[in-house]
Amino acid sequence: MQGTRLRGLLLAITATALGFYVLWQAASFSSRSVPQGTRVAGNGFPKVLIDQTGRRVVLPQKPTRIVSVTLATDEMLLALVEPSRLLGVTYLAVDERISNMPQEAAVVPHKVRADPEQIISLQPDLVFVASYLRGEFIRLLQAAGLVLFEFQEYDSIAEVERNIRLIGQVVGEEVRTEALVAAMQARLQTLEEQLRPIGTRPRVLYWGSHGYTAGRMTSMDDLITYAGGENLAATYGLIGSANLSAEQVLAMNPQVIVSGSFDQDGQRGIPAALMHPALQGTDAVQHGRVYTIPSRYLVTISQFIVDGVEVLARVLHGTALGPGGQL
Amino acid sequence: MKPQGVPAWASVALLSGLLGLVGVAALAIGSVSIPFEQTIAILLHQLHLTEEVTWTPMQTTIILQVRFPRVLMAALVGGGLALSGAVMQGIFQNPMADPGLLGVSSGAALGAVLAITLGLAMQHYLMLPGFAFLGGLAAASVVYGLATSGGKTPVATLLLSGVAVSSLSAAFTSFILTRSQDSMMREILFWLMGGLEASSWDHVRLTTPVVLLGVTIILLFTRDLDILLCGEQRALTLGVDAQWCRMVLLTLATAVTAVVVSLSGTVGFVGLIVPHMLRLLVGPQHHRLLPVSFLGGALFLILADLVARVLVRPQEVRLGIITAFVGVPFFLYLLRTHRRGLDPL
Amino acid sequence: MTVPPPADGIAVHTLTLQHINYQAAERQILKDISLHVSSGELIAIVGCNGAGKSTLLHVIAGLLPVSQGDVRLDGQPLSHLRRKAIARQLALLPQQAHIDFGFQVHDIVRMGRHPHRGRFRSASPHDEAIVHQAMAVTGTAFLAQRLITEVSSGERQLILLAQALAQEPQFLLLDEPTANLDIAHQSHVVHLLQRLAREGMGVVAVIHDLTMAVRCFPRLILLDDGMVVEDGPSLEVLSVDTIKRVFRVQARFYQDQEHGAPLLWFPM
Repeated sequence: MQGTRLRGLLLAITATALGFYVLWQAASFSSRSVPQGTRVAGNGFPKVLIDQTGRRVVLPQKPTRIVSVTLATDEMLLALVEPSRLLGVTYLAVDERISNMPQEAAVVPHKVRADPEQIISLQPDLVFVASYLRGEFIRLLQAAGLVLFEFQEYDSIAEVERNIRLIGQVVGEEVRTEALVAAMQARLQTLEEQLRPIGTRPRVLYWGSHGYTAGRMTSMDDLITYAGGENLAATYGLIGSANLSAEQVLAMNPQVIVSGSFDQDGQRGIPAALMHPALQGTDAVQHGRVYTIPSRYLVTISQFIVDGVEVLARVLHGTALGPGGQL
Repeated sequence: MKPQGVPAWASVALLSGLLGLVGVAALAIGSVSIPFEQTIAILLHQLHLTEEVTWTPMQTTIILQVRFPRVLMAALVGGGLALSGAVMQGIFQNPMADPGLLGVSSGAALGAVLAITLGLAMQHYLMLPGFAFLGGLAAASVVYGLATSGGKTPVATLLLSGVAVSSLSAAFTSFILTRSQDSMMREILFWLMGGLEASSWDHVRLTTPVVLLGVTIILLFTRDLDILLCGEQRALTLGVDAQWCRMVLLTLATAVTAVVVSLSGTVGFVGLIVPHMLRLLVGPQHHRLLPVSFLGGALFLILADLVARVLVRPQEVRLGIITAFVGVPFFLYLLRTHRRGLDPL
Repeated sequence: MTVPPPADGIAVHTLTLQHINYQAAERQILKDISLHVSSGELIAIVGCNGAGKSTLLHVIAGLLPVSQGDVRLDGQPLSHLRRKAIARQLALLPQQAHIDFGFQVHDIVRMGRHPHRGRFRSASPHDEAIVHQAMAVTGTAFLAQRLITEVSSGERQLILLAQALAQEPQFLLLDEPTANLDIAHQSHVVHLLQRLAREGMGVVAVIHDLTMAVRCFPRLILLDDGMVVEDGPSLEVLSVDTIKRVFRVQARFYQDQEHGAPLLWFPM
């Protein structure tokens, strides 16, 4: 290739690479602004649901044919509404490995997946979805005339409580909702009092499958913090989920390593995935403080996140919490 | 069999009929069982051919809002990809060319991945296909720009540029993948393997004008494509402005591919195998091959989507996996039994 | 030898080259070539290997960009004409053509009608008649349904000639048209070219076989090292001295007693 052609080619590639890099950096700023989920207006019924595009849908009366398409809303609804009003929950809700209410879910007549046909065929009067489902799927359900409630924020305990209140408002169970939230806050308060005398926060790293950890602005971050630990990933400035190599974990030198498993009970010990020779040098491995906790506690963004906090606190502080404690 | 003896209109009519039948069958099958007669009745009612209503509104919604757009999308995506593939194979004089040669698929994938990881896909439903479309067009433009100098675009250079840009896009895509959140990764991988499960009338409205326009104009160039196959020199002496023809055809094929890929994700093999299979059956003449490729591609993808839906009920298999598993063995079989028109290669 | 007057009612077209210079890979291949061809002429271009004969033909056909000079068709420079317009008047039969796709012979010949067909027009009966006639005249009608990938190289030559004829050109350019043909077909093609010239077509052919060139082509252009060395009636152009000078071969002329035609003999 002649000189000028080659130069032009290299220039084009460099320009393209730079362009994408700039776009990518812009990404880390814009993705911080999370759009709103559905909002609710009105006391009593009818209520108005306003989705993120401003579209308004009227909910004329208390919904009695509710379908939930996400596990989080499964758990919240199972706690808030009478079983007769709940028509469908996800097939995950009866899976003991990942659901916190498998028995309660078992009596719900239908188990759904993200299948538009199935959901439409149930003829629900209210459908709960989350923004992590495909946008087109949500639009399709809207086009089919269903009333949707979409919630988007779920990365902290505060957001979980907010969502529970929203759901309670939509289904007309404000009283039960307040009770549930109050109970959650009470438990967290109690835990905080028990943790206060301990003083120190162990350095905790969550290191899950394929080497993923959770930094700031994740539910895991709240779990660790409320359980009286220091989220190393957040300390190191990571935001959202990020991938860490064994070498990086060694450099961070956590005192506790936590990961999730689908077994029924968490067990103490070193799971196979963590048997990386590099990790032998970490405080956590040397003191045998590597734990697996049932995933259903770690991935939940329903009221059971509080259970997760309590389980994690027990793991982190054990007998230090003292006898007679709730744990 | 003497395929060349079958007149073009006959093969088109046959395929259209087959397409209609398969389309209706695809409408009747889904995760919710609706009796076949009901499906037919609903369709007839839409055409105002019956007045009696023996079904529930819910069934109508499923048929008309969920299944119908999905089957239409399968037809448009399959037809568009197959037609683009046939055009590419003609322009590059190589039966192994496919629509992604100019980097359209990888560019679209990169655009889609960007939209997802920037969080834009969540904000508006048009963001994902919009970015994918722009990504596909941008990649193709870069490829074309790199390969053109002095007003000439040699085919070999075009090919190499396409390979280079595709690899680069794929590298960027992988890089972004490794930096993305868990939930986004799932969505990205789903998109990369192709799927039509959330197809709605929005998608149909976006795709139809581009595909129809592309098909119509491309069909005006069938003779030019035939002559291009005979070599650059032959084309020039027969009065075909090879450079201009290639540019027009490539632009159209690129636009059609970009639009289709941006809405369905990357579905492989259709653009490569369908025109290739059909060339073995109907010969290389483009006035027959192009319409037949479109219809054949539509048919193929409707069937593939049907299989994807029913194979492991109630889950769905990714469309790209089905097209690979179905397309390759059939193609190998055809290669063995019909060796006409391929020999010197 | 004077140009035979064209048959009544046929217009005279001209193909002129003026001071053509062509360069490739930093080598001057054609040097200051000027030529004039009219309808009805039958011309052979001869010369050593590498003299530039094929290149000259491609330049005349407008396929190669010249650094200097121009080619004019009826006074119009080729660069001012659209491809299709050129293709309606000029047809080129290449030395070798490989078509790797299984088109039917009939379709290949029909491609020659492309310059005359608008984009939106479908094939007319007139087109079909021309195609049929082109195949009949070249003796390829019996191959119509066969695939181009299945015929012999000689048959392919004839088929492409039919394609060129289907273009209904005023000027037919041929690059070694008899190279792959057996004697019967060689004779057939030469007679065909002579007939076409009589009917008004301007025929320019690159010929390797000097004997055939002298016998069958009234006008010869001798090319040596990119320049026109001789241009005129064949027997005057190809004198024994010229042959010795250009081809470095001592040739001899014999007279065919029966037909009176000159026979060229070379020592081998």
